[in-house]
Amino acid sequence: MSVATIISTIGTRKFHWRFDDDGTVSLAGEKIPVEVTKISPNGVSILFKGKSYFVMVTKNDLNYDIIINGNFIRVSTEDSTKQLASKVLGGTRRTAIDTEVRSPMPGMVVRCEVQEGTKVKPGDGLLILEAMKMENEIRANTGGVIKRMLVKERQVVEKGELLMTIA
Amino acid sequence: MKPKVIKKILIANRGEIALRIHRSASEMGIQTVAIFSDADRRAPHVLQANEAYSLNGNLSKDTYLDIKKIIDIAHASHCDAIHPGYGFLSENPDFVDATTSAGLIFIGPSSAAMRSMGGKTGARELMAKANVPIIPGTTYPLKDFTEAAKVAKSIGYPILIKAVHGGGGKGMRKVDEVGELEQSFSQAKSESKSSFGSESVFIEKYLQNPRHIEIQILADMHGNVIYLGERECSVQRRHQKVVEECPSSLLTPDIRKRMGEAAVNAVQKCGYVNAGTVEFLMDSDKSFYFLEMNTRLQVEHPVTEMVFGLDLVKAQIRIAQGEELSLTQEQVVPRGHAIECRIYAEDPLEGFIPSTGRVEDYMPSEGYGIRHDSGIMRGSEIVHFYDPLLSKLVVWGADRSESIRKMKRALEEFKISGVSTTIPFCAFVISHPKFIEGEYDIHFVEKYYHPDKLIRSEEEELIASLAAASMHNWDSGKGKEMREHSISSGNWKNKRFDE
Repeated sequence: MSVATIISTIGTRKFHWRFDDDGTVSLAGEKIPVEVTKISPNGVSILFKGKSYFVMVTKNDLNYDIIINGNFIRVSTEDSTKQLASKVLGGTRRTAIDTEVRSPMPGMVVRCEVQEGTKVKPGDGLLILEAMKMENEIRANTGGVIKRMLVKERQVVEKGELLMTIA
Repeated sequence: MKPKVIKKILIANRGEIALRIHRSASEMGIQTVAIFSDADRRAPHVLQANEAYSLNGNLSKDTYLDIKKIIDIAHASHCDAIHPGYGFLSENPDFVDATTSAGLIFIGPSSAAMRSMGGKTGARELMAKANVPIIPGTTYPLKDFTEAAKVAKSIGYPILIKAVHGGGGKGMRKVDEVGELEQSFSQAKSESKSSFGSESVFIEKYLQNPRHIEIQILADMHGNVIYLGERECSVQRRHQKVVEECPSSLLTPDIRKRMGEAAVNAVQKCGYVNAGTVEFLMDSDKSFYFLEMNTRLQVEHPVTEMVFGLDLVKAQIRIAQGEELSLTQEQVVPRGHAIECRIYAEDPLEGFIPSTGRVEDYMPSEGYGIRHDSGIMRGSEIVHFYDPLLSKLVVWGADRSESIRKMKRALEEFKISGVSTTIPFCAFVISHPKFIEGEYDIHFVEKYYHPDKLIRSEEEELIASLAAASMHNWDSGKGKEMREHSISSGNWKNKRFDE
C-alpha cells in the first residue's frame, strides 16, 4: 500500500496533505471531499466542494508557482514519505563512499545544528539555511557521523555547494 | 506624386510585433519576409511569414540591430520596403538612410524628422516654437553648474536633471533642494556619458503626480495630419508601461481637442510623415506638457485601433505608398473603450526580474471583445537576449466598466506555465479601486503594489497547496492514481451520479 504525505508551505501556513492508494485525500488527518485531475503538463483541475478550480502549477527550483483565478501563490513542498523510506534504507544499506550533503538553493547558513563528529540518523536536522527570507531546515538522508563540516554560520552558499559529508 | 505599390515587406523585428505586422501586410496581399536569430528559429513570426532568413547569431547587435545584414537580406529577397516595428532599429535615422539609399521604402518617417525629434532639447525647442506647451526648464544643454543653479532657482524646486540623449530613467536625477544640486548634476552628467556617450543634460520642473497621456497621429505625404484620440499609459513599473487604456478617464472633450491640435501642430512643424505618437505629462490641474515624440508604432497602439476601428499598420503602409489619408479629422469617431495589458515574462514577486524557460502550457483567453497579439506558442523557449514581452492582451467593451470586467475575466482565463508572467500583477491593477475609479498617476505601482498583495483568500491558498502537493506527488511518480493523474476522495464522483 502506498501512502504519500506531502507538506505544502505558503508563507507561515503549513498544509499536511496525505494521498492514500484508494484515492483518499486527507488534510491534517481529515478526509477531504475533493477530486484532482491533471489536464495538461502544468494544468490541474480541482473540484472542491462543488467549486471548479483550474490552476497552473509550475515547478520553480524547490517551489511550485501556482496561478489561481489570476492570482499568484508560491508554495514550497516537502515529501515526508521520503524521510520514512530513507529511515528504513538507512538501517540496512551502507555505502562505502561518504554521503555528500549539498545546498538545494542559494542562501545563507543561519544555524548549524551539527558539527564534525556528531552522530546523525536519517531525518535529523543538519543546518538551517535562509533563502528568499524563509528558513529551511536541511536534514540527513542517511545516518552516520558528520565527517567533514565545510560551512559555518552566516556563510553565503551557492546552489549545489557542498555543505558537509556523512560517513 | 505617383503612388508606388509595395509587394513585399521585410519585417525588421521579432516576437509579437513582427507577427502583428505580417498579419496586416498579408491581408493587403503583400508578401512578408521574416528575419531571425538562432534562438528564434522556431518562433511564430518565422513560421507564419512567407519567407524567412537567418541572421546567424543571438546578440541583438549581431542580429536585429545589424543594419548591413538586414539590408542585404531585403535585397536578396527582392523586397521593396522595410517595416521596423518598435524598439531595435525603429528610431535609428542611420537605418532609415541605409534603407532609402538601397532603393527601398522605409515604412516610417524620414531620417530628418527622426533626427529633429531624437535629441530632447532640440525637440523641446521645436515644440516651444510650435506653441506646444513644454515643461518649464531649458531647451538647450546646460553649460555648467552655475547655469544649472540659476535655472533651477528661477523655475523652483523640485527639478529634474535629464540626459539630452537619454531614455529609460538613465542620466535622470530628481533634485529637491539647492544643497543636492551640485552632486546630482555631476552624477547625471557622468551617467549620461557612460550610457549615451554624451554628457549633455538639461533641466525640467519636476511634476509631482503627473499622468502619462499620449496622442496618436497619422500624417501623409500630402500635408494631411489627423489625431486619433489619446492613450492613458500611467501604470508603469521601471519607467515602462504595463497597462494602457483608451480613452483616458480624465480627459474632457475640450482638453482632448486641445491636446490633439497641439500634437498635430507639433507634427506639421517638423514635416513629419507616417504614424507617430506625441507624449504628454498631465499635471493634477489638467495642464499638459510635451514630454517627447515617438517616431514609430507604439507597443500600445492596439487600444487606439480597437476604439477607432482602424488598422494603424495598414495605414502606415498606405502612407508609405504615397496614398492620401482615407479619413478626415471629422470622420474620426471613437467607439467604446479598450484596455491593453502587457504580458511580460517577469516575476512579479521578485521585483519584476525577467523570467526565462520553456512555455509548457499555453491557453490564451478567447471570446467576444478580446484581441491577443502574441509572439509565442506552446514550447517556445524564452531566452534572455531580448525584451521579455510575450504578448499583448487587449479587450474592447462598450464602456470603461465593461472593458475592466472583460479584462479581469480575460486575465483569469489566460493560462500559461513554464515562465512567470505579469498576468497576476495586471489582475491586481485591474481590480484595484484606484484604477477602477480612474484616480491614478505614474506612481501607481510604488504607491499601491506590493508582492504580498497578490496572495488572496484562504480557500485559494488551500487549493494552491493541494495543487502543489498533488504535482509533487505526480512528479515523484508513485501510485496507481498518480499514474492516471487523477485522484478523488470519498467516492466523490460516484456519489454525484447516485443522487
